Amino acid sequence: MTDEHRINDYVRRLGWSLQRLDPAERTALVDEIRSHLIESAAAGTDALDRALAGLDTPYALGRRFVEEYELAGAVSGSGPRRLLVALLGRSTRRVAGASAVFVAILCYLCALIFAAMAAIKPFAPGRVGAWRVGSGWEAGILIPTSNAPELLGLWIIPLSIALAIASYLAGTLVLRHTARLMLR
Amino acid sequence: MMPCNACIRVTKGSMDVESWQSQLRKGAAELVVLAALDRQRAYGLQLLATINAGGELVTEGGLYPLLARLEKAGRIAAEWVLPEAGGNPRKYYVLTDEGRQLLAAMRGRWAAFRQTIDQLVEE
Repeated sequence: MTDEHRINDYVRRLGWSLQRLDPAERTALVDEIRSHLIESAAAGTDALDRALAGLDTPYALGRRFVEEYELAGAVSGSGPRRLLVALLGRSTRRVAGASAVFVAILCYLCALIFAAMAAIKPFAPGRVGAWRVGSGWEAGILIPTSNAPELLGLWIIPLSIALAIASYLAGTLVLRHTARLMLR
Repeated sequence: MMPCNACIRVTKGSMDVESWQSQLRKGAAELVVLAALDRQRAYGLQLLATINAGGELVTEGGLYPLLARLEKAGRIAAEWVLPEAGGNPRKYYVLTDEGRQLLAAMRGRWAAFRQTIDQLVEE
């Protein structure tokens, strides 16, 4: 196989590995690696061998590009979905990423529950609320203990909305902070 | 022939040091790339030659994803240039103002870090 064939084969496989990226970004990355390999090959086959070894396999290089792009893009953007997906990709290798994903998922679950409480309360007022039970209390979407006095009434709707927003923001804050730490 | 315990220990120790050194290089790569670009604009192969002149600090497989991330984060900017003498187009990188600020902050931290480590490690 000639040097030219080896270069074309490498960049074609790299292009396949970068399918998750925007086409313009993918083209730019592939062009740069092609340029690098062509210039290395100009110094001889040994130099091309070293360059290919230094780049690692097209799949490994593509994976590194995708990880870096997703994380950089996620931090500059504001969408929690992108942050979650990007950190999930790294969480298998990094404890910080795994912990952040776990905490963020808990926060988003709490946000979902609070939002559901606010939405259901007007239609099933007896099922959603906060009740005094014995010396303590319980709250949520449940069947209340009979004759237990309700504490908040309709005030639980704005309170649930506020807690849903706070939980959502807390989850996103954890993801964004962890992503920034991992980018350093 | 069975390997002796001492040989196994030495081999394992070498692997640990290699792994540790690899982590050191990885941690320093961003600072090194930004510092090199602070001196002059450069393209990938040129950056590799500059950075690795005194020993391998960054590989091709580490450099290009790092450059992509730094560019995406706005710390460096890039443009394609055709050499005047003809030949292969090259993607040149320069530091942005944001990259320059980051480099200044990293240099300060690096100096303090190096001093602390020197005090602890030097015999």
